[in-house]
Amino acid sequence: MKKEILSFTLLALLLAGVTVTHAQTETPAVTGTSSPSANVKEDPDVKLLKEKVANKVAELRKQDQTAKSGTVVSVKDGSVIISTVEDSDQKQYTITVDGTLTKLYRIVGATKKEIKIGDIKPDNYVIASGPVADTNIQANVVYVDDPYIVQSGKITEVNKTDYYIKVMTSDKTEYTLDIESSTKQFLMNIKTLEVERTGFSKIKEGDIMHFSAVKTVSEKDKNRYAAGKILIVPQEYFLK
Amino acid sequence: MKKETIIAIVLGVTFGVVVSLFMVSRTKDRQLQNTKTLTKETKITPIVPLNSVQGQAITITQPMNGVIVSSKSVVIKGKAAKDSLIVIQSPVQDIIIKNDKEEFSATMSLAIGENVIHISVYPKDQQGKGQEKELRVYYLDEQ
Repeated sequence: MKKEILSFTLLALLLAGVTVTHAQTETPAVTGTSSPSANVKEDPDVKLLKEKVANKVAELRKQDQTAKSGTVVSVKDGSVIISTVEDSDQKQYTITVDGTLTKLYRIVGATKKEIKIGDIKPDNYVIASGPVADTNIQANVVYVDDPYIVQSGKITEVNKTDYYIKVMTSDKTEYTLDIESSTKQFLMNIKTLEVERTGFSKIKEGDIMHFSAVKTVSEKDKNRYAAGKILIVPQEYFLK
Repeated sequence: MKKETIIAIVLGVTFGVVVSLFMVSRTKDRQLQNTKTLTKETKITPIVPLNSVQGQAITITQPMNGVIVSSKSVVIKGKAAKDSLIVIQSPVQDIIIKNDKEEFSATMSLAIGENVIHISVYPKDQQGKGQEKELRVYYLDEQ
């Protein structure tokens, strides 16, 4: 923000300086029919300078952009408080939503739909982009999206009755993934390393499973999700 | 001075030099023997064996975690132990590569919003024990 103010001030001063200098040098040559402002407007040096400063301001604005994502804790008075995890620590950010400047969207599949601040509810997952000062985000744009979990681990159980798979990750967290009709199931060909479509019957304990799922909050089973996509790396690959 | 006297002096000095050199070398030998005794004790110092299980740690050189991009794909570059199996996954795409060199590179498609990209590296001969890294890349068409 400070950079922007500084850049605008610099631009104003430069333009003022150039105009004054130009006006002073041009005045004797000005006839009664031509105006000095018309000459300044046409001056290519001033135009170039304006463009350079404008580009620099745009560049600085872009550098200031940071994105933060997290779960909505509360929404009130034009601001959204989100909770996020950074370096294993829980942290809260306040997203300031400007009624005229901030754009709000909900991501639906591959498209986005414009929404209002009233459409953002607690427990929604949001991504805010804009200049960040300490724990405040002056949002330029806010997206409401689904939070995803992307993980991998060794398969410890394949339940062929209830169609779920249990996976143990490297940090010893156990996840239960429900395999549904919409779940995309892939298997790595151990000879070609190509990713091929597969079925539930070919998955076995000891294989490595990579999975992605929408991170829903379940009080009953904390680490149980409906798998969106799974990729199996057969254990035979590592026994070659 | 008589010739015999000069010869006697020269012989005496030479003899003295020889004896002193002999004494010096003996003293050095003794010192060396003492040092050797000490060195034997230092041999007990345990030698740290090379931990071949750990191997080279995975490094992601590009992109930075939390980066905002305005294009539909991002190039992921990094370093890992040679001949590793590298699995790069996101909710959008899965990429599997085997790196002939330490450096690897892959172009990943992005979905609008937050993209969680999980990178797993399985070094050769490690029975499926891998290293993992997670990146968050934000594809925001409006900033």
